[in-house]
Amino acid sequence: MKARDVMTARFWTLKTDDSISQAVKRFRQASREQGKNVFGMMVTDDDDHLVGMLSMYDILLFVQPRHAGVWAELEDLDQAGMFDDLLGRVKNIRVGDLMTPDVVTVSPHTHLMVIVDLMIKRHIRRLPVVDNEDVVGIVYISDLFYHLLRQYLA
Amino acid sequence: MPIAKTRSVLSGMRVKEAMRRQIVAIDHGQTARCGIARMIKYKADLVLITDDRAGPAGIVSKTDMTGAFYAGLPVDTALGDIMMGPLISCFADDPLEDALETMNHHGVHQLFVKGADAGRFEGLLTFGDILGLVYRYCHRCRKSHARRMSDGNDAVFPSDTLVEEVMTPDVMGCRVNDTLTLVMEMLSAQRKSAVLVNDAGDKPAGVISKTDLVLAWYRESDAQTLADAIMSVPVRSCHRKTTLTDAMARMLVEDMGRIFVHDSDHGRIVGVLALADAANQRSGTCKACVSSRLL
Repeated sequence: MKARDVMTARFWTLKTDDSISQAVKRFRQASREQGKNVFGMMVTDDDDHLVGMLSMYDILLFVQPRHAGVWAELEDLDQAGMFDDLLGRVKNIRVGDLMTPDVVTVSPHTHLMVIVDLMIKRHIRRLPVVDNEDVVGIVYISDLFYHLLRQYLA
Repeated sequence: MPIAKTRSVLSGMRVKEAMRRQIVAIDHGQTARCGIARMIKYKADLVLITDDRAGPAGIVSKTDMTGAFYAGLPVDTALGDIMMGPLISCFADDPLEDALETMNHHGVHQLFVKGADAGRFEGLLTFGDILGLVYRYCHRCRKSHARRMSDGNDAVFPSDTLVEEVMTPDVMGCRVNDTLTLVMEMLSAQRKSAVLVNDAGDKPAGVISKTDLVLAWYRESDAQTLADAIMSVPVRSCHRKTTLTDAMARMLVEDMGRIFVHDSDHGRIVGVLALADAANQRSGTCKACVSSRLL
């Protein structure tokens, strides 16, 4: 009943200097390799220490037009083209600009019930597992869910 | 003798109809670097600075950050050291026209919105939000340009307001080889938020806004950097005879704080239309409201 029992030791990371375009490609690559959708990824520095997390939500928040309500009124315009133009203007934005720098982490020895508590109270879906400043894994809420409720699957 | 009172699209509307709920707040001890990262992520023009008890203490806007850049402060300066006050606010139930007056009176681009609990902010009102509401209202109006086109209605309607009637004709310009220091001095002296960057042939080559300057500070560029290194290209502009409707739509959709205005020669910029100019028009996109709503 510890983090190490459910964590995924094979994980993908991003660097702060990666572009948003690189991050999007990496999300898709990770999802394909892991056989499940990866919605968030850890961001590490040159020493592979955790410095933040970037989720699809963070990216969507950024690319969402500021006046989203107006878009719904503009059926007569080429919205797809305009959205592409908007995306074209974010080329100089980096992962480090959008990531969440304050990350909640657990150790490999953290009890699963503590992790459940953290995930519920803080609306967290993935938790990096850090051991002596080194990232050793990540606990996804789906893995935790199926691990704890596996007897129902039998 | 009765006094004629002009009504506009905004008449009868309340602040709560236009305001946005999202406020980007950050502790006064955090660095400007953190503040800018939040502004990038949430596309905010300012951050609300909170004190040790998480109460509102002041704001840091792009203007304040540009000032800090000009003063040579490092981007890791605490936000509390560059924040400004007092916070100008209104109530969610205030008439939108009064809020617009307050913004103009204080020379601010946004108002914090208080709700039932006056000690807590419920939202933020910006020129862009007001313009968005005006645009949506006008777009649905049966006399609107869009409805006329879709309904095939050939009745005679009031003429559309044109950009040239609302734009500011004075456009401030600098050269591609001017330094950021000079650009910041120009913006500060003229109280403008952007400057047109002209090439050696005096043709528009780019634009430097306070957003570009804040990003330059964030990326730790030197204030002696030349304008062409950070300017945004291309210069986005519309013809002076463009209808205000179309210009508003473009500004809102493309998230522009302003659009430059050109003559028949695309390389000749004759004015600039800012969100504030369009929002202050109030009558929306055609002259129907003003002409038909005299009390």
